[in-house]
Amino acid sequence: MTPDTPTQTPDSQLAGAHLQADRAIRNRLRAAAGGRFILFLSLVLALLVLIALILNVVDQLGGYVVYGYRIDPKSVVPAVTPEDLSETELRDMILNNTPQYRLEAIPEDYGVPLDEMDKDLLVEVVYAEIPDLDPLLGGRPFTELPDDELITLIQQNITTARFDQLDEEEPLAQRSRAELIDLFETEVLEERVVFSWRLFDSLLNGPAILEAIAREYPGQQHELRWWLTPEFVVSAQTTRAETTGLRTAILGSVLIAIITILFAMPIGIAAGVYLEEFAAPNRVNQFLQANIYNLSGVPTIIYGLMGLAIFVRALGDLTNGSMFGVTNPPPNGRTIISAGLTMGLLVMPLIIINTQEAIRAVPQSIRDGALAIGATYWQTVWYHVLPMAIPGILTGVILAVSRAIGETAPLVVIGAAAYISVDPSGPFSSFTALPIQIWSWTALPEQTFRNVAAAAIIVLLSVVILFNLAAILLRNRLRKQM
Amino acid sequence: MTHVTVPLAAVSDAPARATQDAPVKMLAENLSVFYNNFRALANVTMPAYEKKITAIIGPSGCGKSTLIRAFNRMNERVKGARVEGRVILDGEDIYAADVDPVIVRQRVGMVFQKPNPFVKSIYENIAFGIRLLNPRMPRSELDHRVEWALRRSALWDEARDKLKQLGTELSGGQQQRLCIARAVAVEPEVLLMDEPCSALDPVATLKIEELMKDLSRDYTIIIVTHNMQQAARVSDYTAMMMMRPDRAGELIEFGETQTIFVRPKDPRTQDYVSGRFG
Amino acid sequence: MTASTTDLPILTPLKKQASLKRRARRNEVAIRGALFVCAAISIGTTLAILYTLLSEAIHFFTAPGVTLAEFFFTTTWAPEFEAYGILPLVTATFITSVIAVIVALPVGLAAAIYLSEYASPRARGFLKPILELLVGVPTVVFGYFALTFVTPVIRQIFGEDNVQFYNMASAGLVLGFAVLPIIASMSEDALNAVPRALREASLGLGATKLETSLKIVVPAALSGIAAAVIVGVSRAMGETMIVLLAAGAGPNFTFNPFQSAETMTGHIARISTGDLSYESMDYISLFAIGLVLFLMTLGLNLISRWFVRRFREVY
Repeated sequence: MTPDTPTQTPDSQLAGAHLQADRAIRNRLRAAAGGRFILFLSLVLALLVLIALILNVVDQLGGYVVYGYRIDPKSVVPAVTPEDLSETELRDMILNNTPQYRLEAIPEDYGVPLDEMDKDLLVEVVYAEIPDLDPLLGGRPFTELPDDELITLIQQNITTARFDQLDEEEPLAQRSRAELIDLFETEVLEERVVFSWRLFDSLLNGPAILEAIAREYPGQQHELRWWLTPEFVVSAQTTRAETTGLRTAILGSVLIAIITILFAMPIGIAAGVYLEEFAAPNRVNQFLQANIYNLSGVPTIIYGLMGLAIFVRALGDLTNGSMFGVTNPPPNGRTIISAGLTMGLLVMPLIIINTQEAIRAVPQSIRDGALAIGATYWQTVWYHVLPMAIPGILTGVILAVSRAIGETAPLVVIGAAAYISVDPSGPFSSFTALPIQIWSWTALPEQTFRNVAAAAIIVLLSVVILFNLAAILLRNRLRKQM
Repeated sequence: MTHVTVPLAAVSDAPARATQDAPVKMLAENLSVFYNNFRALANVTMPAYEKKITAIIGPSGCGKSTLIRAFNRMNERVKGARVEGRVILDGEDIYAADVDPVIVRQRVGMVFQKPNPFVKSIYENIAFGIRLLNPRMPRSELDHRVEWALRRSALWDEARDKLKQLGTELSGGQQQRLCIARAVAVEPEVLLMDEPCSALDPVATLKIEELMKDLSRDYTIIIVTHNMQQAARVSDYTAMMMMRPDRAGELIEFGETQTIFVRPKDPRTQDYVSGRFG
Repeated sequence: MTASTTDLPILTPLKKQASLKRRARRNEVAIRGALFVCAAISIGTTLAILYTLLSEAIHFFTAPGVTLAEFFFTTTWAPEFEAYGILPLVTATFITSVIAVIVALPVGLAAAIYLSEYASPRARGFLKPILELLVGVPTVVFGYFALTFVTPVIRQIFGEDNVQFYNMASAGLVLGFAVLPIIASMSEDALNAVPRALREASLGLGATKLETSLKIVVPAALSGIAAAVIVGVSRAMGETMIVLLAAGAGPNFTFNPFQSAETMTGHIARISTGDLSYESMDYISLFAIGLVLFLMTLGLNLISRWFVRRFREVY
């Protein structure tokens, strides 16, 4: 490539007599080597940031957690009276809760041995002999409740809507006992993480952490929990970090991306074709071109404000679907279609500029060849230029999709509500989206929501990086071909 | 560039084919071409006789390409290009305001310096132009015409088994013949060839030259060439161009090829064809 | 070798228009018109942005109790108390962006010099895509990074008493990481555009590669690099998610980077997610802030484009 430069020659070879005399040169060479190292270090630093960013996310993807109930089970499981208990239960109760000397005295006092007492008598004995009954009766562990009683308790303690939703997923009566208990813990008792450790800490110091759990949270459930699970990805959103899922947000993101591309791709490509192939170099077209460059630099939040004023507010009756006869439209235009259209306008300059570059790269000789046999301009463009430019145009479209999925600020402004538990059903639904969810979870103070956000970030990043990688590779391959 | 004097033998068969009686197919009349404010071509007047080969020769930068591209309005591709004067095709001025350049190019085809086949199959390269004229042509007729065009450009034997292959995968000489086939497929009356052999090796060049002679039985051909032997070998008429001091190209002599090469009137032509400069 | 005419299949001539007269190509004209309309939609976007910003901003400035002087020169932004001084939002935007550029410029430029002047084609082919991947990382991810990693680290280093939980330093630093790839990538393009002859002349005079890079190539690419830096500043000023998450949730007029303060973008995002009535001052004031932000970034982008054009003219 370049001729051998001093920097690439080891110092030892330079130790010729005439050079050795010149200290200045040696110092310059030393500076050159040091400088090169510093430059390299900067590049490494830039890459280290990416690594630190990813490690920081991964660190919060899992780790040891200790669970506790937000609701005391005793306050939920109804107390029973001794009259509700069976003879065996009453007998056990007496046997377990009465001092030995009283047990020995009981047959004398009541005239019948414990084994031969009938229920009424047993009840009487319970009242008389056990002074503090309440904890015993109310403290019946929920794990021992029969199935139908569990279901009744669940129904009584959660909202009707939530119960119907659960019942619709799978009728409660048909669920296994383990599932019912799990449901009871998460839905009714609101089992939650009371303390958690980071992933790397958990992996490196596992035994020490387990010891700490045993010491500080005796008897409480704990596990090495992963936040990014298939279940997390496919579950609907809830208000609790332990049970929430990404489905609602993913569906929102996908629908928005589809609308964005349906809107921006045809118009963006057409605009790029016009500017590159048809626009005479007059003032109007120069203005169009300059305007597109400027639009690509407008802060995205400004697009959000524009979308809020136009799609959400001014066109609210269109964007919430009420003009199209949608039943039960959302109260305002904060819907998928508003988000998709705003995002479409945002990514359009990106598609236009990439289309232009791709078309510019098609050799002039191809156009000459088609025109020279009597093709019109449009026939030339349609049959020869566009097919050759497709990979380049596709690069722009892929980048636009990736942008539409990852861009957050305009969605935050337009979507507003981060808590949506109902899957979006179409363009006129209220929505949440992956980046909105990451933002709102991150902004919450609880560590568990940070864990959930980390899991969502991995999902978002893998999609976005996959798209960008595809675009970069496609473009590099094209550059080599040209 | 060093030149040997053109051997007379190379010129010998040209005069036999030139006849003053052939009608004029195209005529450039007082033609000037401007690129923005730069005048690239000044007041050129030259004919192209029907079913004859007219060669345009001259040193680099003298406006040969500009002139030939003016014959089917391909100069319009260049931004800021403007034309004064007229170019007549069968009595009609192709630069008249109500003329459609697309129709001009259907009748005046062009082959370029570098072979530029479409990045499509050999078949599609040729079928494209035919479909432009008749979009609903039955497949059998289309096949027929593709075969005809390939035969007409002496490519059929080499291409018949690989019609589905990309045109760009052929050798340079084959690509150029494919471009000729593409041009003749739409049945033009005039074929413009802008240094069609400059990117080819001698063997491929020879094939194209033979093809040109053969095509001149049916088509009026105008060819720009840098190679004087080629002009002498294939053309019936020769136009000699030079660059003026203001860098505009002008036509300094036009005549039968034999005359231009053997007894040029202009001393500059004499110097050029005998290889004293250029 | 040339096929003789007798071998050729017989053809009926193709039908062509006899005269050269222009044919009405209606669909051609229609397509051209449609393409133009598509290109013009971008003008529509600009108009929509300008219209919404201007109309609501005018609404705002004509409201009772709001004056331009108050807006631009007072230091309290508290719509609930009818105090509309944009300065605290502007200073926060300014401070975070300056921190970002202080971080991104040296590192980004050095990385660009290394990539363009030192890296082997293979290393470059591997490193540049990674840099470009970094451009594609959604900024909300950077925001997460700022809040959950950089902020705790800064607070540990400088003391929790000195550094507030939400602070401009953390947001600015991460903002710097976010714009670094843009600055590096654009600078690298500029360095690459410098003709090789210039480098060879310098090397031929006995300069080391480092001297050539710093004293010849970088100055030659200076306007291109300037364009990169200005685009970087403009991006930093317009970025929302990092400052929304890490810088603070409330306007605060301060120049101390360890304190929390809200930038223009952060304020717009936070207020617009709350319960908004379309007629409230809260709502319309957002557009006044948006207009200021729009004009500032537009100005920077225009300057950057001017630098790029000047750079292109030279080479």
